[in-house]
Amino acid sequence: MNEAARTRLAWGFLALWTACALLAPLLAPAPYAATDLSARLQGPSWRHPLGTDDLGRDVMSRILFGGRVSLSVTGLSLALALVIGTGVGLLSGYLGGLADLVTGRLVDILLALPGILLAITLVAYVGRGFAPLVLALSCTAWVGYARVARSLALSLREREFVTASRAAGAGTLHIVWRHLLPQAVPVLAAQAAAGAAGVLLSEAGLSFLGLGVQPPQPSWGEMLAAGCDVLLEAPHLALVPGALIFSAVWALNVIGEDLPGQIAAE
Amino acid sequence: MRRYLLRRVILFFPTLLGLLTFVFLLGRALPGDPVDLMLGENAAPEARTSLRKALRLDEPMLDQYGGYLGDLARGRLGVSLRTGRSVSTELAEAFPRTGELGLAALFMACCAALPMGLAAARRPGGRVDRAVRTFTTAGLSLPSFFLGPLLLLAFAVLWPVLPVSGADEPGSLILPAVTLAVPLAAVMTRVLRASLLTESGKDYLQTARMKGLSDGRVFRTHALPNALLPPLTVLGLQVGAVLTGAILAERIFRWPGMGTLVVTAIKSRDYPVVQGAVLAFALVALLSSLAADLLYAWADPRVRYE
Repeated sequence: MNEAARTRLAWGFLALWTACALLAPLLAPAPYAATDLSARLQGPSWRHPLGTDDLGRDVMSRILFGGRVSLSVTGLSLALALVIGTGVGLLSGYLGGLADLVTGRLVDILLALPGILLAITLVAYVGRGFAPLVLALSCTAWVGYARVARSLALSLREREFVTASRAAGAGTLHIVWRHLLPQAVPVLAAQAAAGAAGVLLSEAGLSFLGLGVQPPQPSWGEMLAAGCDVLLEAPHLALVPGALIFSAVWALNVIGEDLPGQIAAE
Repeated sequence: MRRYLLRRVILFFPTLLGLLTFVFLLGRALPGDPVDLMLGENAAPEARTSLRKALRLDEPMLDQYGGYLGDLARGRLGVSLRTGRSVSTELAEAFPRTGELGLAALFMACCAALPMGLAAARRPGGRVDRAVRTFTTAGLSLPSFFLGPLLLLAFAVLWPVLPVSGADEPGSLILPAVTLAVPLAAVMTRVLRASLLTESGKDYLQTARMKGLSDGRVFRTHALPNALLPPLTVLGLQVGAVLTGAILAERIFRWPGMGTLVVTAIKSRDYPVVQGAVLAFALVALLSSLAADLLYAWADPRVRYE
């Protein structure tokens, strides 16, 4: 498969899953939490296009609403991380001194915790649910953006246009907002595109461990975990959400590899 | 050299202290009474008082902090609320299991990445290179919690030669270790390939070729030793990722290690165990990135003088 086709396929997947997530209430054949113990672990049929799970819930509906949760948690966490990271990074890089020292140490400490461990730890103390999940994921992800934003601010603050603005009497917030931010946006957007797959993967991982949204609200990771418990009797319960996570992560990876180059070219 | 080492080792301690403080604050800064969270709101008053005492929650914050650090220094991590055993016993039981899994995965990943990286870098853009690239992209996109079930299904149904669950049979280690090894092998292959390609343009390789050495010989004996550094550093940094990956793999294959311990502890609000496990994970990650840095400085003299 050539590069262009790969990228098109990736955007196609992303558009399809986003559309499914947005239209979930219209497309879902049944309420996602409606149990029917007389119809447990059924295979695909007209009534249940993807079969039913171990509580007799319609898998198709759960997949649609689960995608809604997975994608919105990913998007929100990424946006929040980007805002926090950019703000903290630009300010600490521009101000320097004590502010920079304190945030620098904090960033180092948070980066020392591997992968989703920080998110797992936060969920352990804050509890489960949509908001804690977004909080935990963005607390994990902002650090990377802060690092990049800080180094950008460090190099930009010595440039003539910043000095000129300061000489004209502009305050810190004005300079950061009007002069540093516009320069930082393309770089950080490229980094966010590359990091989106990681956030989705963390969300799915946390949900897989049962640390995601509260049941009965579905998410792809939680469905995959539930499917693993009945893997031999009804393999599709694990394979469908697994394949969806795989396709979404793959698509975001491809786009994340591709987009930075395009943004840089502009 | 000595100054670099000293600085790097000394820097380790503030980061460690920061981590310990972070975990300490996390358990106390959050809204709600931790005793309520652990015992539920309807617990007997005596039980609440004794737990409050055991966790030092009746003392001023600074005393709590001092006591917490003192206990850690003496290796006292508290008592599990769920099993009543000491947290250090729980960790001592679970940690070797995860360590075994992680080491097996690291070994497998190295064994796979070395030949793949070499083969791919020999002819960039060639058939082998493209095949290797397909593997690395798939390996990086395939989440362990999907690869795991796929392997489990394959070995339970299609080709039942390996045990797929638990840790009691001799081959039990293989499937969870492979699950962890695949993404690691993908990362290392990529880094090794890139590093070999950077190295292959250098003059000393031209000289070696002009001496009449074969391409394969030039690659293996001249380029490879110099190109190994970046993958080794990545290996050190990936130890943390392997550990957290193990949390997921253990859930799939019912492997009784740190992941199973921490997830059970979180679900039963067993905070002393959660805290102990997080600290253990973080300590290993910190130590292995320290080791990677030191290894790098030892192998590449240029690093030390910067």
